[in-house]
Amino acid sequence: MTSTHDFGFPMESLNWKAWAPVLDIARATPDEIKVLEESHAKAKENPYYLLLVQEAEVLRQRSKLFNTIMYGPRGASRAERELAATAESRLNGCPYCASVHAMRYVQMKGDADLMQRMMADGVDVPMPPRARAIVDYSVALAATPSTATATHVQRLRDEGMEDAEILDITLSVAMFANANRLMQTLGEAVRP
Amino acid sequence: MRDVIDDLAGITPGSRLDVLRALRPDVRSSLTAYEAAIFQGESGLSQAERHAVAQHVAALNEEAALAAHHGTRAGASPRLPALRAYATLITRTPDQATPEAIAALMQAGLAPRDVVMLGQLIAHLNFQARLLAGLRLLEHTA
Repeated sequence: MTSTHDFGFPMESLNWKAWAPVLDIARATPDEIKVLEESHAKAKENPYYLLLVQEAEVLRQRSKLFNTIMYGPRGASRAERELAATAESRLNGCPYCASVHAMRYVQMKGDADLMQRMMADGVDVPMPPRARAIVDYSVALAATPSTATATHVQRLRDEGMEDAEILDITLSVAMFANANRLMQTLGEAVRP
Repeated sequence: MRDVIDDLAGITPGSRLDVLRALRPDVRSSLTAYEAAIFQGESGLSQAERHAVAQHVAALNEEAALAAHHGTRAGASPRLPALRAYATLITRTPDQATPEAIAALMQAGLAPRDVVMLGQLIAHLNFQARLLAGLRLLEHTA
């Protein structure tokens, strides 16, 4: 049986191909154009957004949710939100999501070695204790149903994380439970 | 502003989790608007079908209150088994997704925008299940 893991997890910019018909941008309504512009800087050229914009109001609200969870000013650092998102995407098998967010993590945190190892070998590769606690919580919460326990949360607290930061990591994991299930199920990653 | 998560998690005004969630008001408001767009927007998927799929995804995640919330609004249709089978595949084993699964939905009568709505609905319920699970842990490990 094939799996979306089979593509591999390169740490480079990937393209994406839709498995269902997408909106022809030449026929987009002004509202659809507006939603695309609110969603992502390059959404008008991206088949993922051109697919999703066919339910324009749903995409508008989801983009607001996504952008505030991942990029809003928060307790948990943007890098740690990206770490949670990348670990979950690697576990679930979404190469496109994993590559985008692994590269964002490296931009912010600079630890390219950790990300390269996680992309190549998975979420169990050695890492510093705080990153380990975040990744362990994230992949447990990502399971269906969740296998996250009080012990996972206590380890985050032991690393000095406040409740608000743990909520931010939880929201990042929730957002990628959502994002992986759109991006790796409505189309597929392709190498440029 | 309260949202459906507060109701399902039993978060009362002024409680510790209420105060915590209030630190992220834009998450609450956009989650409410996303929920409304999914369940109340016009769609080729009936509201009864949408709630039935939501009930199913909540049950796969063992979120009983979330499943019950949708169960009271759920209804059957001839293609509901196909919608539920797709929801099971995407929820449990997203790495087993295939173009053939999408083609099967379109053969069952879904337009492209209905496929998008179904995907957003399944994705949203999977979001809510993780948030509910995380909030319970925060509550119980204070």
